Amino acid sequence: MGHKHVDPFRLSHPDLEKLNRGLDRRDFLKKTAMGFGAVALHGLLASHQAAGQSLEEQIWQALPRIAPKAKRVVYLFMSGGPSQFETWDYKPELTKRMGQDLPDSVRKGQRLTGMSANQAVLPVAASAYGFRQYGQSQTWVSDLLPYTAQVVDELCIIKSMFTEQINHDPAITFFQTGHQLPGRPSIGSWLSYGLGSENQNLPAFIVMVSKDASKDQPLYARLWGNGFLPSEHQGVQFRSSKDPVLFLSNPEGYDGKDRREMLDYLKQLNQLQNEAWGDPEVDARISQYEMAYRMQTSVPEVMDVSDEPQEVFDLYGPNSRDKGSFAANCLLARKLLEKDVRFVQLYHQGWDHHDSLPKNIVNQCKQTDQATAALIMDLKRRGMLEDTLVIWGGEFGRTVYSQGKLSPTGYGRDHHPKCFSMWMAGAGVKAGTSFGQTDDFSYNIIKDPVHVHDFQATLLHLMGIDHEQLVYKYQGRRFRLTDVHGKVVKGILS
Amino acid sequence: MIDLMGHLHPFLVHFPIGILVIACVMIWLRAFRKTDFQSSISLLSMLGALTAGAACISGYLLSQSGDYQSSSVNPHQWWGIGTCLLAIALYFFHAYRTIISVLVFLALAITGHLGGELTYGANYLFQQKKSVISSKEIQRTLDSSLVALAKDTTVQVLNPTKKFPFQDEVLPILKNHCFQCHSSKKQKGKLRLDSELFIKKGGKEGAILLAGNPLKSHLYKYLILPEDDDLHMPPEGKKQLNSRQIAIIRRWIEIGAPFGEYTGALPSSAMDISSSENSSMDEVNSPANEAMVKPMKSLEPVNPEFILEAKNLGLSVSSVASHPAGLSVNFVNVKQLDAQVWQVAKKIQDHIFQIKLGKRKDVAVEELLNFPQLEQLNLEQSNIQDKDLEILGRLPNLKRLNLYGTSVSDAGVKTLASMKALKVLYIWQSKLSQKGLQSLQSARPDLQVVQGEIHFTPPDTNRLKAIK
Repeated sequence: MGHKHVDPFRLSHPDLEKLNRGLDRRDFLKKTAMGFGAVALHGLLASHQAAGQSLEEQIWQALPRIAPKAKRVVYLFMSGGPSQFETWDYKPELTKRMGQDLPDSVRKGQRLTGMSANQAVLPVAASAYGFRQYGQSQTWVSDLLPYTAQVVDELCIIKSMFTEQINHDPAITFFQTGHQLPGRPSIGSWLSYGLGSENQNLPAFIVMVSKDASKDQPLYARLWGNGFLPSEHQGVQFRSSKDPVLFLSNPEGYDGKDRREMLDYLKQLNQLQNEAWGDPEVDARISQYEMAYRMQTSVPEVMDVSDEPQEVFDLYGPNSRDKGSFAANCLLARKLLEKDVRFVQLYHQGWDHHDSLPKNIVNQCKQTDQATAALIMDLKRRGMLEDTLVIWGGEFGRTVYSQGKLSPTGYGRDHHPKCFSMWMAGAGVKAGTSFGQTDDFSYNIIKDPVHVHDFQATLLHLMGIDHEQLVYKYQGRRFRLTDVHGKVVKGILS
Repeated sequence: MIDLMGHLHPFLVHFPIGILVIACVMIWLRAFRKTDFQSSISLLSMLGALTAGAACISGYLLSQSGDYQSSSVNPHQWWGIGTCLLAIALYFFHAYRTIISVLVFLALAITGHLGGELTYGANYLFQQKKSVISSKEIQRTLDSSLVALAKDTTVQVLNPTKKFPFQDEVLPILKNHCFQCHSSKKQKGKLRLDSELFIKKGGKEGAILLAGNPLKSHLYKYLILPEDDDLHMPPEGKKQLNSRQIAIIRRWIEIGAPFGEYTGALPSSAMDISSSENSSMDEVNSPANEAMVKPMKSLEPVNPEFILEAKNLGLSVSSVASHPAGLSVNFVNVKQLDAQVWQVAKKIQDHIFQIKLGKRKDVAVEELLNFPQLEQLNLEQSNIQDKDLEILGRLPNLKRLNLYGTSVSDAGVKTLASMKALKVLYIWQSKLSQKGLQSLQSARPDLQVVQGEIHFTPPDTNRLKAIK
């Protein structure tokens, strides 16, 4: 083991004393390095009462066990806040009230954003697009989503989502990390930490951002960041350009053998550092280098769509051959899920329709509708939909009143956190159902409200994790994805 | 009644100790100052002698209960009788009271100490208190004991020809060495060993048996601790097991701790036994459908060592929703699907409910027969063919079968239709024709066949124009 660095401060601190003494943690990391996450390992070892238990074992034993329904998640994040009125929440009554001022009895003095708070009137705007009933479930779906409408019997539409945040950055941060301020781990990072990766050659958490969307609201890498979790759990972004993962391929004139040799020496140096300082980030760094090395072969393989038959491209739609488009990303997402990547998240921006909504939303739907439906059906025929959870949704909804001037075909909608729609499909959720209800103005929820933390708790539950038990201690506080809130939404579980 | 008298010994012994010590102290105090204790000393001496006699009698009865070996009880017994006689002497011989009192005091101390050793084990007096033994320490002891056992090649245990290893070999050992304290008569540590159910239930510290893993089973582990260890069983001073007997127990646990037909004593409340466990015993006659009618035993959690071993060979192991101790195994990381990999998987064979072998071209289908619990099998885009289906047909619990992208054709329809438990079948991109599919559907209308044909209706672009 070489020399041990002795530092008086470290020895006096109880946490570090433990580190010096038993290095239980290192033993633990040895296990996790083999691909187990904290919860997964607990699950497998549950109720194994061995005599000398390490601290971690005791923690695992304290965790209850939920049978996982989903093994993988693909989360289609519609960034910007898609309007529920033109997609899933059919409000036929609004046509009669078109142009009328929003009654105070509905608004109940709720705060508005600075963009519409000073408007003299808040004119009610009905959807410019029709709705029809589809499938055996006879669900009302907007004419803007003709393809998703055809798979509506696979969906569980939650019409009663609500959030606490009214602006994009805090709202999307809240959705992804459970807190509106940056710095906490993203959902995918929590899952990676809790469950480990199934495929050793690919990260457990992969992110792709559509390049064809209008970039009205920015996205930041911290949305798929690991926060305070060890950094091997951060989401890895796959790009559409020549190098899907930056700095992954070898420099010119530098072959794989050289790289391996270099990494071996680097690992030795890192291990020396690790012995001296016991910093978990050194472990993370070592495992990241090893993962990157394995990804040098696994990533080009999985990103290569040349083997896919024309029928598949037809299925995902005309954009599916255009690298980096939402449709192409959906196809790649399927390939990644086939490789047992645990959490794939696609971001599609451009849903922030403050003005000219009827015109702009058509293109948004066109870019996403067919590929979304295709992804569901493609997973289904491969037998993967039964253990893959598909999620579609944005960070908040939009107002019933028009922001700015209202004309029959031209109106905008402002941010609305008090209710919006999203859907889930696949593993463990009731297919062909709708959950929750909003009032006639889709302004307030009148039945079964689902908070963002509830959604997160349900997502973890479907993956076999009790959201109250997936805890990470950082700076003296125990953190959870759902903070101190969240209830599993039993009503949507199959 | 006699039993009760014996059990009162620990209670009775404290009277002579307390009373006689006070008598001694009073006698000694006379040397320092003038006192008027005479009558009190006489009374206390008499009371001390009487209670000492009671302690002797109850002690003798307790020693006859069979819990103790006479060799270890003897010194305590004779010192106790001696103390009693000295107390009588103290009462009668007024003139020698000072000398006799010193002797009484010494005898009390020695008797008490010997009694303590019987109860708490030898050397309890100078032993450091150990609440928890470190796992390392146990491991070390285990290692050395194991080495000793391994070297002893003369030990041939668990004769394979014997049909009931538990009744024939293990039970006699338990009867002779353990039942004294762990059966219907006594339940030290709340543990009984006289029925399958009680053995599986364990004692106040939890389970004592982990089938397949002696080192995780206290039933074995406590036997091989050093004899002076607090936790060593049988306790010091009792009849010890010899190395052959220890090896038998170890081997019995290793082979999965089979109880055969032995059930043993029934617990007082019949509710403890689930009725399914014994009901189908008579039906297990023909070996062909043995797997079918085998009663569903509650699975012990799998040994983590085996999971780590599987993981090291690239198997991804996770838990399943359908069964609390069930496992799902994904071979996605396995580079070469050789005998070694199957060997490791076989160690957890009874726990495996799902297997994913998608996209592999090296699947040896016969190996799958090692997993009789299998409910879900992913063989999409694998090398599986029609003839392999017959082998899969021998898996009695198979509910979901993924065969998309394989060369399975109409020739396999008959076998597929005969899979009784099958509920969902994926056959997209297989060689199955529409005709074959129809005959499968008519033979098995309950079977959900996912064909994978997707036909989206192209949207009516007129509707994408805003209304009004």
